Amino acid sequence: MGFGSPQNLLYLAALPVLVLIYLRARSRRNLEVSSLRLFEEVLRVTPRGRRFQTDRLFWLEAATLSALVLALSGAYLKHRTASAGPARLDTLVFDLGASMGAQEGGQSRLDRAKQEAFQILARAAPDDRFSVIAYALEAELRHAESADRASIKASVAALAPVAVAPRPAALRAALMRAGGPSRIDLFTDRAVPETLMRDPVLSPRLHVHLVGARAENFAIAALDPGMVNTTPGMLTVRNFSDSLHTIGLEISVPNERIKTSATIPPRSQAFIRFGPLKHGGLVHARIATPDALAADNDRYAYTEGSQGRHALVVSPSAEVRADLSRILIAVDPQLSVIAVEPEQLRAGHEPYDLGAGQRLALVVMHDCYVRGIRAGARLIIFPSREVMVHLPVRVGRIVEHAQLRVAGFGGEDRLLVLGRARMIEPGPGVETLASGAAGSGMGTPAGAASSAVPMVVLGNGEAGRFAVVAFDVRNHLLLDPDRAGALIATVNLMKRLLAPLSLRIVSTGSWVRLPSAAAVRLLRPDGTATTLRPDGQRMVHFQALLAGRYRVEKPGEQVEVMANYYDAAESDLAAYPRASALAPAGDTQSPAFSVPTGATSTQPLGGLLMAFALALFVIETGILIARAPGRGKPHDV
Amino acid sequence: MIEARAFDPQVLAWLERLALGIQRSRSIRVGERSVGRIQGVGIEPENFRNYAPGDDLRFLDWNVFARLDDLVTRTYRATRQIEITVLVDSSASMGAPYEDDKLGLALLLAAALAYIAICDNNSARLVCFSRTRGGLHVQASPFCRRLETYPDLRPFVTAVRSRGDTALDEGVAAFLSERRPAGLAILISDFLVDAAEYESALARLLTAGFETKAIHVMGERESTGSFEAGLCMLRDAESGERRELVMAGEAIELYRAKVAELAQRLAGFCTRHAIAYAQAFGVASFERVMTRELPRLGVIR
Repeated sequence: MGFGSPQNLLYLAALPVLVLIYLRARSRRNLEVSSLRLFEEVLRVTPRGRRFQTDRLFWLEAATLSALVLALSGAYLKHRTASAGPARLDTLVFDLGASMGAQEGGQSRLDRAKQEAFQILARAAPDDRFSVIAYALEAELRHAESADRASIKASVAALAPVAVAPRPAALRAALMRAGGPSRIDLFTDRAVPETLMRDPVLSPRLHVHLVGARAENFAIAALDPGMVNTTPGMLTVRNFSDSLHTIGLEISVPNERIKTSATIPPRSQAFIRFGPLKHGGLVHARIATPDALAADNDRYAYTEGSQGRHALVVSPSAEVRADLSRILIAVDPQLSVIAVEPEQLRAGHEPYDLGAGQRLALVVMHDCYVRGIRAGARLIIFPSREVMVHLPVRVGRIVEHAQLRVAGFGGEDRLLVLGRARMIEPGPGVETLASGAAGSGMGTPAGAASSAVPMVVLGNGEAGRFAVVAFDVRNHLLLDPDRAGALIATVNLMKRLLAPLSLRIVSTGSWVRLPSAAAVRLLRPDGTATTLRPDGQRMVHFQALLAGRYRVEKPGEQVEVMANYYDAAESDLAAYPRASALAPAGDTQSPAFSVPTGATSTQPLGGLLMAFALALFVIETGILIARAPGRGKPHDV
Repeated sequence: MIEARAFDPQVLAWLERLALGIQRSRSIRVGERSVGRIQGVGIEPENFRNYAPGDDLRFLDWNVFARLDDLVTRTYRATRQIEITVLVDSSASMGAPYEDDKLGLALLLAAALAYIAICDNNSARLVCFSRTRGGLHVQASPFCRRLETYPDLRPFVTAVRSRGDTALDEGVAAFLSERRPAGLAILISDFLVDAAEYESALARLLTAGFETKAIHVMGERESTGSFEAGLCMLRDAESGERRELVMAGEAIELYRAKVAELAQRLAGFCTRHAIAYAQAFGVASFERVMTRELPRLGVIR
């Protein structure tokens, strides 16, 4: 039996009050009389020992009151129905967020969680069954329900923290997957949201094991490498500890290393200038001072080292040429941007001289396509149908109200209305970076789009890397503050096209897609390797869950993927939840299994108790009517 | 306590206007009230006065005539007093219920009657009796014959306490064993004993030649049954027996009927035996009893 609102049991305090009222009503007075012979007749009709007689009305009222209080307290019965499986089931849920990798006393928080889990496994009965679920960005069943203790232990031992902040939705999903009648042992280092702790169905089964304690941590929040020989770089470092610290820093690029330090007040951040760097390439910033969490101690960025790079902007629209030129210079101030009309190029006139053997770093073509331009990468915006001849992208009809799917507030996607666009369809090996819809209405919700229409694609062709943007950018679309999503997509695309092919810098948790017709070998930062096989679009993909350097080895080619991690909430290891915030906090000493497995159903008793109280009330009324003067026996004599 | 009123000057002044209705006491004159000394047969010289024709020559003082040659007659105090004994039941039942102060009322009545008797040149005394573990307990005051000695009763009256069982027959027997001249006996009690006992006691007094009067004393609450409604644990003041009952409704009526039955039975016995019977139910009834009830029954004239 249980209670949905056990606090209402306080109303049972009315029961002693009822008893007191009853006793007071039955309280007797001592009366000394001259002689009992005066009371002979009275005593003759009064039975002896009346005080100890039970009054039916009292018992009826007490029962009515109790039934009402129990109904008010949400009393329910738990039924154990027949279970096909063994007697008990426990789901071990592990938080694999970045902070679980924080080191304390030579072991990580996850290690401590594993030890507690092992203790639970050791105390369990031989026929008890366990399952293992881990969550960070997603909830993942690591081991299905099993009584094989060795297998469960191996599954737990194999758990490793990832460099991402765990999503609350993932925690909810993990607890939902743990569902059923099982006991849930949750191992985490963060307070569980109140909504989950107060869940009437979940909370009785949930046992939270908080691991970890307050720890000092520093993190690199951002890295701006600056421009080689031109502008200094900027490193943003945060001190999450409660004390002043001098933090040692190292910034390195190929053939160059800078060592510096910064004294940062407690729980604040500092901006450390360095450079300008003398060499370009992959910039690696590192915190040299030891701290609790290593994942946020490294950060990577790329700066172009070569001087005199050129970009060409081709568009029949002068305003588009101006907008794109400004954006290109903003992306890379070292670029020399040349803007021409397509007719000038088609006439065989080259309005630039790059020198012998040189080629453009990037050519941006809007609403046109000109062959024969020597460039490292091509960006085609609002493509003409001629593109299909030269690039593996099909170009379709023009739609007037194309929409771009962008990230909105609260993590939900929304559709940004852009205007005209040419429908495109990426061919094999072409990656879709952004999609949208070809709807005609304004403000169409993302979920209402009938299908995802590719809006921005990226691929490799015979003439080098290329990208195609489906929407038109006339009328200063890219500079429209209400359509910043279009500008962000374009800028990211330009960065990708200007970056070296063999290097990708991503944030942890993001998916990395690389064109490949054959299987590739992926070497992760932790040293593990795996083989990735291409999908139907001749793309291989993986999710960068660890911070650091990934290496993708393709036949005759090697791509390095640098994953940066920073999350203010996860890096703040001093913000350890107070014990009071943990309602049914896990008690590792408590019996490991209090909840039987099998189907346990709860049957509310509120209605039954109310009916019972009503019946008692009717009976009491009947007795009172029977005792009324003129009916039944005389009153109390 | 209420008995202290018996020595209140105002009450005493009021009592002086009353007289006991004694049928056989004063012998010489017939009048509503005897005031002053009346010449009569006696042995106690009182005074001398000149001889008047018709005077009994037996009382002529010859020695005075021989010396002074005057005829002087000697007068004597008449022996016309009777003894009045007020018998007060001082058993424990007279002290319950405590609020009713039945014993106080009984002693007030006894002292008041004694004072009236003394005013009539009678001698009076109070006798209280009850039966305790040590046997019959009798307290008797000395006879008071003069008003000046009446205050001497006060210590006796205030010292009486209710205790023990009612012993009417036994107490009367002890009283009669003194073999005093028969006079007036007034028995004041709640008569909460078996009828046979108080009938025996009253019969003893009559047999001994006493003019007997009975005053039935009860408390205000006791006589009216004005008990607080609810569950009560009754305790008999004399036997200590306890009984529980609910005092309400019909129980009150049954109680009142019992009180009336007891009083009626006692009154019937007194009527049949020419015993003046009066009821003094409640302290507040003192004045009414003295001025209406007792004169109506001839206890007081």
